[in-house]
Amino acid sequence: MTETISYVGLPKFEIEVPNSLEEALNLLHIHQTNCKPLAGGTDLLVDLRHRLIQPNVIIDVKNIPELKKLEFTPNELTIGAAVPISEVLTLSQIKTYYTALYQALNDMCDEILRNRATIGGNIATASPAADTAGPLYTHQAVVEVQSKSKGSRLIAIDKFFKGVKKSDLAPDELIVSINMPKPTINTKSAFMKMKRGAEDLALVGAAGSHNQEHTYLGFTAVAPTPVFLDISNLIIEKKISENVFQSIWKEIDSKISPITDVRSSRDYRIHITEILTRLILKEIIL
Amino acid sequence: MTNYIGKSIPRKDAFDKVSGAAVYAFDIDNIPDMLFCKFLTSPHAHARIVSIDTSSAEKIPGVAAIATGKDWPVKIGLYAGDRDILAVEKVVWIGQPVVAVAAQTEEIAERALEAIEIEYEILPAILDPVAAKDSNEILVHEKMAEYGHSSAFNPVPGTNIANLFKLRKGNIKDGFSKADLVIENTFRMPQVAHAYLEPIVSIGHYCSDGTIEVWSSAQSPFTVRYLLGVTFAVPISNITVYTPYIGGGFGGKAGLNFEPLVVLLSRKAGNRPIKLRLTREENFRSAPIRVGMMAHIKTGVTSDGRITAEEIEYIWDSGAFADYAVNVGRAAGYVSIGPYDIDNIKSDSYTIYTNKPYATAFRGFGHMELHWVIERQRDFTANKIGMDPVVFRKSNTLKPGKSVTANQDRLREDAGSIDQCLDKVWIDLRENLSKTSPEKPWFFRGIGIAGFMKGPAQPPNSASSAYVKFSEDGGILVSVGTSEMGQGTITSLAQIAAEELGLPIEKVKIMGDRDTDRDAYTWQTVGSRSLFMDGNAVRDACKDAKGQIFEIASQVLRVPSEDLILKNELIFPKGEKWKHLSLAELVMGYMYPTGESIGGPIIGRGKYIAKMTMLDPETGAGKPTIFETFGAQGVEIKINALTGEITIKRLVSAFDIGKAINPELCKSQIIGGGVMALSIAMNEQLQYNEEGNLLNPNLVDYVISRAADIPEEFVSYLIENPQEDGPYGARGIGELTMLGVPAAIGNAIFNAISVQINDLPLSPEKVWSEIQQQRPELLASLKQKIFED
Repeated sequence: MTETISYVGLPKFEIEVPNSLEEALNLLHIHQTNCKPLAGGTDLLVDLRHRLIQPNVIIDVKNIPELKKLEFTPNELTIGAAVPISEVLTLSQIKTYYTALYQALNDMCDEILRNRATIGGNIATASPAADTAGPLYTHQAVVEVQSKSKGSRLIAIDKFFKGVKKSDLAPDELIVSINMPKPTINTKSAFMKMKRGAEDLALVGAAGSHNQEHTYLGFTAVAPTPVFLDISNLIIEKKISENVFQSIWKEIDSKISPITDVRSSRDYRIHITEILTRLILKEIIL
Repeated sequence: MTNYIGKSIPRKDAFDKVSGAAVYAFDIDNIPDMLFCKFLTSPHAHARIVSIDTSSAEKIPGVAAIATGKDWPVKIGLYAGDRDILAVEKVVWIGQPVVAVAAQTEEIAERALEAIEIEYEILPAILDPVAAKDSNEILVHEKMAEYGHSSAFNPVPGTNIANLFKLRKGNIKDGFSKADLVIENTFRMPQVAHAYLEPIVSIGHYCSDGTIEVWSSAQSPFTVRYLLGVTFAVPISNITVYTPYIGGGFGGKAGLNFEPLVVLLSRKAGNRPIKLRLTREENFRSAPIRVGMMAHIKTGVTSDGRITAEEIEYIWDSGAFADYAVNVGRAAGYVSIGPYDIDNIKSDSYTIYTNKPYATAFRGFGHMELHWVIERQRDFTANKIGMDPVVFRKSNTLKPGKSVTANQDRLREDAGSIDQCLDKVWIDLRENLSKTSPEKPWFFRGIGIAGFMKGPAQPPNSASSAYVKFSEDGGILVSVGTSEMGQGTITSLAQIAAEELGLPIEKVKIMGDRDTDRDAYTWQTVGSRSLFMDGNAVRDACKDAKGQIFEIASQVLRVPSEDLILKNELIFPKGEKWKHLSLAELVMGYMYPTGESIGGPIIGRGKYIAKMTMLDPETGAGKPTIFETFGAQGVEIKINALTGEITIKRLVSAFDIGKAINPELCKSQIIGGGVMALSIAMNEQLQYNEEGNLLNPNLVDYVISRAADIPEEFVSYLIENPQEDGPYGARGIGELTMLGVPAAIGNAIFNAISVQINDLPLSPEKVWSEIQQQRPELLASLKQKIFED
């Protein structure tokens, strides 16, 4: 059914602004599916205005210290779920050690929205086109989530996405942070995204990383969930040739199932996936 | 001795707009007792309305009135009366307003909409204009025969043809028989949205004394006033239309839009003012858009490069209504072949109804589309006969004394030169061609050019007026009817007045808003006509004021008026500057030392009327425009043949504008229009599903160019062959800045990779799919090169 009413404003809801993680988890525990966390709001506000969701309570998580953490230690990088992308980009180590993530963040939405948008929100929405999903996989990210009922648990990023706009998060769970190990020396990573103009959602997103032990690929907007592949066993002699590529492509081709929509046809998405994969492999391996 | 003509004076409206002080229709909230309007739209592309039940909605507290089509079932429109205010018997596109609610707040109005029940009987819809042209079964307007229309148009009742315009010259058969080669092609362009920054806002007040007040984001307040008078059978002098600053219009706000709806609701809601402000989604679905186009062209050419015949069929997809767009089909029809001289022409231009959003004016008015056809075809042809594209064009371009297209109106000696425009652009593109080879083997460079022309599309009696009113210190208020929506015209008009009256520009006031009671009349703010027509009217008004000033000064100074000079706010006899009077001493009347006074407050009045004719319905012969502006545009592009992405390195433009009154404003137009055309050429299209539902009614899914898409370099040449009847020789430029861009890119793609693309937009996917079809071997070899490189 076509939308016959275009709403001017947002539906009515209560807004809660907790100052601690405990308070936020309590609210989630009480309201369960009747509430939605608000980080940057770049997806949430659009869904609210179009009445795609109508929660009774919105929980603004931007004042929770744990969700605002941004820290690089000798072992790992921790990005709080509610840190705006423009702030993440201020950390110089992102570009040095997490190149794929840097490239994705630096090209995400547009310069103005990056002051609002967050990585936590990007993955919580669980859009098949989530720009950060591929890079987070290639950097082997682990998501820390918490709830009052289950406490804290860690979800590897490749176990996080369950379907179109569906994730492993329970209704009362909140993403606290995204954590990535410091990569070993000589790890190279890259992200590329095909768009219709300079600032657009992805038609296809592709990320890859490679070091002595592992080669990972991550793709977005080509299946109901982001697609992750560990192709370490296919990279022989640390080289890429047409033959090696063909065996990798066979793997990718069996896992992707792109759709035709307003942004692109299925065929073009498959073609671009192939081209971006070639370019990324060349960038990180050769 | 010019002080202001040719000078880049800062925009009169710049400070207000940059500081946020400028008032737009959206900002008007202080009208007492105002209510808010929301409307419910059709979910079907074509359906009969069986019943509408508003009873529950009426009971919601805060709801003041609910209107349906039956409340005022008159047909409205500019050139053809084919539009309902609200759907009357049937709905004709998804997004058509069916029921409107006036309530205390928009939220209450939305709740009322949710409570309204409408039953439809679905009818088969027709979405494809080519199928619609030949369909007698599915008719968008069965009652076309009953509609009123201007005599300039030829609708065909019993079909979906809203207008058929015919252009004929010579003998088409003979023309083709003289050709060595005949080249046929089909070109297409999808419907696109204006995507102006400011969505449409209208406030209507049907006052209890029978007068009507309207505040609206409309480009042409006098046309809104006139058509409201016709719609509601109210004397036009009892209607006032106020238009504050407009946040971009591009033709989308040129005609009558939602003003009748808010006036109708106001009358139903006990004469309370009603405000309607569209959301972006409503603006996409329910407000008018740009026509789509399909053209089939056949060109006969001799092997030495002379075009002997050209036969074209244009099909314009106007959507559900064509009240304004019939004139798009007509204007494109009388130009048909572009700036060329061809002896044998046959062109049919059909404006077609379909069950899609309705089309209206859009910057370029069919000319960007027709030059996409013509200028791609010229390159095709030059390539086939092995000639340089510009040498080939120049062997066929229009020269003074030759008939403009086929309308038998000869091009004047002072009309400007298409050849000079083509030369400027082509030389620049070739001399500045990137010298280094592209950084990767899959990148290719190319250049392309397109020439074009356009004059204002307006009725033969289109007129403009102006008045200048002095204040005590000798400063003036200039009143014109043309609107400021970003073009910068009011600044140029102020420069003309300052020049004519020898005033400093600071003492020339010109308002950015319009008020049909206060301001001088103009027909519409469209068609790149304002600087020429309103500019001539301002000049005329200043001359009139000057005549009045000299008449008084001549008595005071006892010198014949023709021996007087007005300079630097002083009036003096030629060569006797010391005998001066100041403007301030004269403009409110001159008082002698004895106290006796003569003259009185000065008001200068000026006018200009178009000099055109009606066109012959069988051949198109006649004089369709007051002038033509010629131009050429070219691009250097870089294509990534692996992905189909195109980067525009340089956009080079040349326009013979006669005289640049304000060169920086001209260059701003060239950049603004250039970016808009690049966006349309490379990305924009309204996409529908099989039911006719618009799939990208927002600025996330409908992609327009953004800051990072703007090319690295713009080069602009302003050629000044003066037009004798233009103000200081000037011609219009606003729309021209878009016309050659799509074809220039299409031609550059062929130049780069020998792939011909006939359908817009030239999106990465389109470019890739054409490479895939036309040169699969290129793609395959480039893929391999990624690992080799």
